[in-house]
Amino acid sequence: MNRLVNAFLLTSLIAGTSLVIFSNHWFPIWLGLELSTLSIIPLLSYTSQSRSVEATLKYFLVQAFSAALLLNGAVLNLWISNSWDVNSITSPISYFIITAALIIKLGLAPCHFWFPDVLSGLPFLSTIIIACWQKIAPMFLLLSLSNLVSSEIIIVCSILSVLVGGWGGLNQISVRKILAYSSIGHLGWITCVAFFIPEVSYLLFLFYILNNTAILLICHNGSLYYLSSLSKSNVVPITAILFSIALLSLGGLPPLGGFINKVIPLIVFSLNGNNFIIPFFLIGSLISLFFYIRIVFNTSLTLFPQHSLNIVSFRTGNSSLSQPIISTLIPITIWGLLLLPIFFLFI
Amino acid sequence: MVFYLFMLLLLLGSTLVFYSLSPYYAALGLMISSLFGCVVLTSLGLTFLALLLLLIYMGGMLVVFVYSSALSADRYPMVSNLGEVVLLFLLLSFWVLFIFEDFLESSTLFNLLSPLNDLSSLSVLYDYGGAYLLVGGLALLVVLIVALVVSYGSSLLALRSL
Repeated sequence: MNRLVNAFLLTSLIAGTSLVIFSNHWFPIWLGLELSTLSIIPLLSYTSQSRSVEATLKYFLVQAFSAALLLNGAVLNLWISNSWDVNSITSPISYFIITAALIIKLGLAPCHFWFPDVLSGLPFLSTIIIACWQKIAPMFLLLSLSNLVSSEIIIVCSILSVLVGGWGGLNQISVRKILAYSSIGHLGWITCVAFFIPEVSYLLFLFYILNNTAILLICHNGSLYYLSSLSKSNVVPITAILFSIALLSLGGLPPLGGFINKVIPLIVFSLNGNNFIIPFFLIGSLISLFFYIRIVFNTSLTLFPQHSLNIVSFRTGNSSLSQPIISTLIPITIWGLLLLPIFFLFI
Repeated sequence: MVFYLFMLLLLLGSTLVFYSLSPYYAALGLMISSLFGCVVLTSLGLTFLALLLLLIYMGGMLVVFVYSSALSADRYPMVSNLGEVVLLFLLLSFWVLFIFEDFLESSTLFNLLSPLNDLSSLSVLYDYGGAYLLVGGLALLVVLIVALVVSYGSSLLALRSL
């Protein structure tokens, strides 16, 4: 696509998300959500392949429907409380409609069905935009609403998300679908803390974005579209090792950084005396840990009679523009546990 | 009472939009719903918004919709399920009537037929709300560029002739 048009659309995408974050009135929030949805449609479908176009269309329909539902809830809130202000959600029905719209936009269960479909039809750079950047605006809205009204719908949806993220990713061979289900599970872990302390959710969400972006960039570099291409790919050897470690960090194993996403919600639950929901989260994340470890095990920890991993290539990858970005994001996933004391400012 | 009749006809138009088999009947439903939306707005006193709706909706958007559906619709379309649409409309209206019965029998709180209620707040859009106009204009520019990029180019995407 023309570089000027590309730059214009990326700028309007950033402008749309910023409009959502920085406004107090429901109308610019709706406008920013629609602007960000509309401006990535050409970015997702610029290759005229039918898979990308189909995924773009599905994405647009889901996001447009949920933005209309959000506007509907905001107008209902205007009717009941006479205010367009974001901080004045007074009635439960308008809160529920707005939260339902945000849950559809984020891809939390039970509204997660579009997410693996859309993600598996797009190339990896578009996947980074959908899975990481486009979640900033609805997550921000969800957390700022949780500051005002604590409702149990968030906990129910996050429990369902963690379980769906675990069981959905079990029989997949496409890396994009695995990362989609892992993203659903991680969003479940992040949003459940919003019921108790929403500020902690912001930090967990930031950590999730950095972790996910690193893995998706590595997958883009090595064109790892299917699990079978892990034996034929051409990434730099250090990236191969760090990819395995970053996957384990995504699964939440303790000395790595991804453990923060699991231990902080557990601390928050047990400090609030809410021990009943902990087993659901642990079961879901245990199942998702299985398919991360399966990938790492079959690539790095076993030696087959044939060469199962031919991942060493001493030349740099195709898009070496992403190598510095990977190099700055990977240490966060490995040593991120050193950031744990920051969370104790909020708890 | 006539006010509720206009709103029921608005519902008929919307039902025609989403339930009809042929896109031409959906365009007819859009026309009906915008027309009666205008009538509803006028009877509430919001005459400027009614004229705006009529001009932009029917004069702009609907013409574009009819042209694009004429270019992209089926060659041998199924014509109409108008009876089912009217039946669905009657079911929906009776359903709403039975839920909101006490609300509908109370005295209406609307300020009917008092003109120019909307111009006092519309003027704020051009004064303190200038940023809304700017951002709205930029959003429309983005929509224009998106529509052009999506429909530009190869023969797979070009509008075909009948």
